[in-house]
Amino acid sequence: MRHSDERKRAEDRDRPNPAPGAEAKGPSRRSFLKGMGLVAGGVGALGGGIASAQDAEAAKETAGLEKLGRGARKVSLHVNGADHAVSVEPRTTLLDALRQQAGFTGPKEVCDRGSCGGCTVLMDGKSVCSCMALAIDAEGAKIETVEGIAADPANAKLIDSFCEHDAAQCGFCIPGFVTRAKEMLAANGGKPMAFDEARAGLAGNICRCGTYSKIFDAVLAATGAEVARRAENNVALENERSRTDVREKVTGAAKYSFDYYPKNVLYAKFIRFPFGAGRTTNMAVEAAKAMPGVVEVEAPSGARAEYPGDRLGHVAGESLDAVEDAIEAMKLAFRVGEVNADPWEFYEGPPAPDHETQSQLDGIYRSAAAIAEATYSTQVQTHSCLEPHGCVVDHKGDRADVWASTQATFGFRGDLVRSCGLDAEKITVHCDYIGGGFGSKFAAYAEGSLAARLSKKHGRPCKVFLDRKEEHLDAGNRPGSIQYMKIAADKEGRLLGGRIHCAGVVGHAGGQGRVNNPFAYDFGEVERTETEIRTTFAPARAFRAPGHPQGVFAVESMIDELAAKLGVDPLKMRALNETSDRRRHQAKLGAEIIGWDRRKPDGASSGRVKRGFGMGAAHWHFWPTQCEAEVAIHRDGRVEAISGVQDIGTGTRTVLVDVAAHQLGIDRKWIVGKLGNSNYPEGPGSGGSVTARSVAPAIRDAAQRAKESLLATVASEWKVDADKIEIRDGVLRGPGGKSIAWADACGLLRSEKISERGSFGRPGKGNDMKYLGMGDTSATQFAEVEVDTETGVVRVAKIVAVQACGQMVNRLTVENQVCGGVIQGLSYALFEDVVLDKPTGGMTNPNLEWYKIAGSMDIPPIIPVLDVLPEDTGVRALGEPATIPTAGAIANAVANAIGARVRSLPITPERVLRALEEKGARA
Amino acid sequence: MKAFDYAIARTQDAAIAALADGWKPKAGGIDLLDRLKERTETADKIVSLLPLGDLRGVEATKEGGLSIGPLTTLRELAENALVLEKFPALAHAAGEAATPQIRAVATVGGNLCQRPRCWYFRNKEWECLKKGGATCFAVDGENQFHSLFDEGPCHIVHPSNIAPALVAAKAQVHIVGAKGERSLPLEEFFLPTNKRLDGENILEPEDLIVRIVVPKAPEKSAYVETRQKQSFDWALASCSAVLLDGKWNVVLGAVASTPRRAAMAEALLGGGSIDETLAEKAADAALDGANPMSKNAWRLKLVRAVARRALLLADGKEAV
Repeated sequence: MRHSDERKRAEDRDRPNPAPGAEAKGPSRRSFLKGMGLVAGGVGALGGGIASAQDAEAAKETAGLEKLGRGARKVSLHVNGADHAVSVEPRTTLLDALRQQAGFTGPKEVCDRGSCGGCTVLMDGKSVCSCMALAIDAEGAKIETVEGIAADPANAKLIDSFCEHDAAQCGFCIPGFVTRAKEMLAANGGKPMAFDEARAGLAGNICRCGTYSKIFDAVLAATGAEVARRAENNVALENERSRTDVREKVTGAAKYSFDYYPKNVLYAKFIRFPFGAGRTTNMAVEAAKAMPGVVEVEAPSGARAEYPGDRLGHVAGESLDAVEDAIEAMKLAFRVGEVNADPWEFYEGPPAPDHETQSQLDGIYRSAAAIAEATYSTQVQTHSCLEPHGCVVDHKGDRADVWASTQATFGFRGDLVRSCGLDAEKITVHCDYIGGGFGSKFAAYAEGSLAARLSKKHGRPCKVFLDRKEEHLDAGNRPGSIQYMKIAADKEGRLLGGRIHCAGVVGHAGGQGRVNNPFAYDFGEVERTETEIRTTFAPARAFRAPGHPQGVFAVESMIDELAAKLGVDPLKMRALNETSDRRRHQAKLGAEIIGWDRRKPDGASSGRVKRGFGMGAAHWHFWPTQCEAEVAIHRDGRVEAISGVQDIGTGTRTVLVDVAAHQLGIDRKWIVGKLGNSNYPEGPGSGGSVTARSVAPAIRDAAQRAKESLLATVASEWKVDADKIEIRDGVLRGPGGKSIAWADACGLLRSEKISERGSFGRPGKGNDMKYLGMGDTSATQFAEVEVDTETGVVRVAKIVAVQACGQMVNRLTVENQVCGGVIQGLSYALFEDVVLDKPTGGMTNPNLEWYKIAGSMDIPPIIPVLDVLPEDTGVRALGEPATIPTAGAIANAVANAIGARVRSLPITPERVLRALEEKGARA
Repeated sequence: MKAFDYAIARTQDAAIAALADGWKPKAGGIDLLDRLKERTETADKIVSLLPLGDLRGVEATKEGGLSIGPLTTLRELAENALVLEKFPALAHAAGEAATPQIRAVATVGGNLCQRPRCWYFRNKEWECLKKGGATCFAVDGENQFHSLFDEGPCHIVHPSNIAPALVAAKAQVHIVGAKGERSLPLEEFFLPTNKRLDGENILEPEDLIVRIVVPKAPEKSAYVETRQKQSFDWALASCSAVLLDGKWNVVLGAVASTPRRAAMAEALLGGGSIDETLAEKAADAALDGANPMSKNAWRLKLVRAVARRALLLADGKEAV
């Protein structure tokens, strides 16, 4: 198999490719345009004077065809009301010109193919994908980016509405949504918009965190439409305000590491093998080195590859275009080796148990009123973070600054020690904002190491970020699974036990294949075995609740299959086998809200489009973590709440601020949350849903110490005992009616600031255990779906997500994350799938076009029910449990609707139709 | 993207001369840029047609039909009052395509001429038949979204949303080339893969579509597509049913390498009113000639569904 680029015509290569920045000779396009009218209009008059008909023809051609060549030229872009001179080649996209030259990094590059709307700008008032527009074509157009939209007071209502509704998680997609919404509002003519209109209008934008619910609210409210209050809580709320950095995210001011374009930056890219396994048969390294703008090519010949996307070397150059041109010039050719793209070919079923176990199992099965035997499978899912993996490294002398897209500031730093050749303390990792991680961004990985090595070697900043195809191929994934279950139950529905065999479908290197099955319920006497099937695909990485959604899909499906056999209500059956009283309570609550009494027997819903209901459950364990934090009170009243941890979109910065505000008794306006910097006090990576519950007690500890220090100052001024002073609503009050406002009290400090460290999880340091977030969390979700039995298309009509969340630091961020978990689970249940070409092992859908992620039209109303009990005094984990039950609940709802079960994810029209067909054949 | 020479055509004549001189046309650029970015498109000289204002917009014809400029955007087509009045199925089909951002830029001509979305064709890794290679990788590979009807050798489906409606309404396409102007039924414009591999229609490099004419407003029309995702997704199958001159026209999309006329269904339907039984029969007949591949036979059910629904909807009946 040869690389298609080989067929490029020889003449392509004969044309010199001007180095970036080189200007084409001749008039600028603008002045040329002005002259055009005269020339074109003059053709007729000149015609008589031209010697031959041929010349006349040539003149006519020239007159009507404005040739711009292929080199860089200066054009002027009219962006946000001002002209910006940029130097672009015809191939330069509007997005690149805006981001790299005009300084507008609000529009983001995500899919780079017009599939996701992350790069949306307004061109003469119309929202378009700037990644699919040429900069050279945009001259003369009125371009508005999110920065311009946000700066225009006429759009205040829209911007404020996004902010007030907390319509951002990681925030990377939000500028695109805001820009699109601006046009929708303008077109709507001031009328209140309907929910379905909002969904349809936003169908070109993808949010990976699943912020749609809040985005819908924001857009609807901005049109004056009524927005239902989302949470149905059973307790009073702590905090009704949006995340502290929502405005930065909504206005495009938030700078992600991907948004850094330092001067003199070196770009690099990996050369990658496209198929399942094999080796290169041609790699013209010298040709690549000879290409203009190329700085370095490193590619050992005959390299073997183990998976699609495997790295064969790298190219570094002055621009990404130069690097990609060089890779093309290498005329890569490959031989495909032995490929395993189909786990079923290697699945051997459950191994036979030994004689004793078998006879135990036989005993269980004999005593059962019902036995269900089924094999379930789940697909490989890619994280598809909207901000790609990568970083900018600037290695200067004995120091290095790194702008990284990471969910572990300190882990990333540790990984770079070797590639930078520096001690950890000489490396500063910055990560102010991160555009999604979901478990795939804990380390520096190959791209981080490459950037570090090249920056050190060449003495200049180096930027390496993956493109969308690389994101799918080599940035981790949730492994697939095949799960065999044969489970027995008694006539009431009590689970008696049985056989479970789980095969994790993992990449070529193995690992990460564990599946959480059994889970949540007491399955009785279970004989469980597990194995791994290796495919020639990329290694898996942790993905939001690793092992859980896949296990719960099978577990919840199995319970409903047994319930159907026994004729028992699945809700009652779960209550019987539930291991948690808390979830029993949640199930009752959720069933009421979704209207479980509307659930009909399986397949009994009438009509072509059938309605069904299903449920699923989750728990999440607590485990110890450590976190350090710092609170500094300045003499002017400003407070800094600091920890080196990162905010992956969950609202960690807000946790810092709101916990400090609560502890200090002041409004959050005084406080700035600082994080995402490895020079700050150390905290954990954002995995296992630990960040909020680790950083909250640490910042509380620091705030308490800083407060005591301030009170001591005030106490000595007032000559009273410090413990007689309290701070409430920004006022310090002491005995004898003494009071002083916060800022005035801070003015009494004898130094510019007082700064105190706090910690969590350090043995022997003595924390307030009540605040520690000790303990597990749980979740129960209900899904209502509509299944078109003629087309097999599933639409989710409603989700009720009951979520135990301990002490809510901030209600809106909690709701947002719960809805996001549901939306990711929905997308996993119905759409996402890595499709490998069986013969070659290549990934056929490494994009956001055929790798399908739920969009606005696929998102139903979601009701997050925040299950808070008075005894839950701690901040608890919630990012992961919220995504665990969704696929299982949806699968059960589909089965209830159609009276037939789809046992593989995603639940595609094909699978629904096949299940119906098999049901028909049985009948 | 690889570097390319760029030019802007100010006149139609200049555009045609440029095409004859080896320049490749670009309108909205959505399809072209996608292939340039993937580096599967080898265009070295690209000419922008965007300034050709005469080629943009929709007008009523004297005969009561529509004359559509190829540079009209899908959004303009979807929102155009004339189209909504005279041929609502066409407006609906345009409005179902891609995303709002894409529809604002993508043109009618580009939609009719866009290259297939086949993943073996779109990804540079596979040097497939259509790209000059020796193999159609879909045959032994992932063909779930491929053709249900063709014999091959290449098994793409035609991706145009608007083509089925236009073909059903017997639209004519007007083309200007080096040798002058010609017009032909849009139905004959598309070529199946056994007639042509390096393109999906009869256009030669120097040809420019200058008009698409719907001769008269259909009496009734509907367009139905089904897709897995309701936000941006490609149709798994689509159908346009059009009653024209008292005769039903049924054309399928996304199931064959060209928009596919369901001739047997049409023969069965004649021009009468549609009821559930007739719609079912016609939908069954629409499957005539089906030749599914190893992984896509399930989509035949969708073909049946969209055909049935399009007919009922066109005749003003409940379909679901």
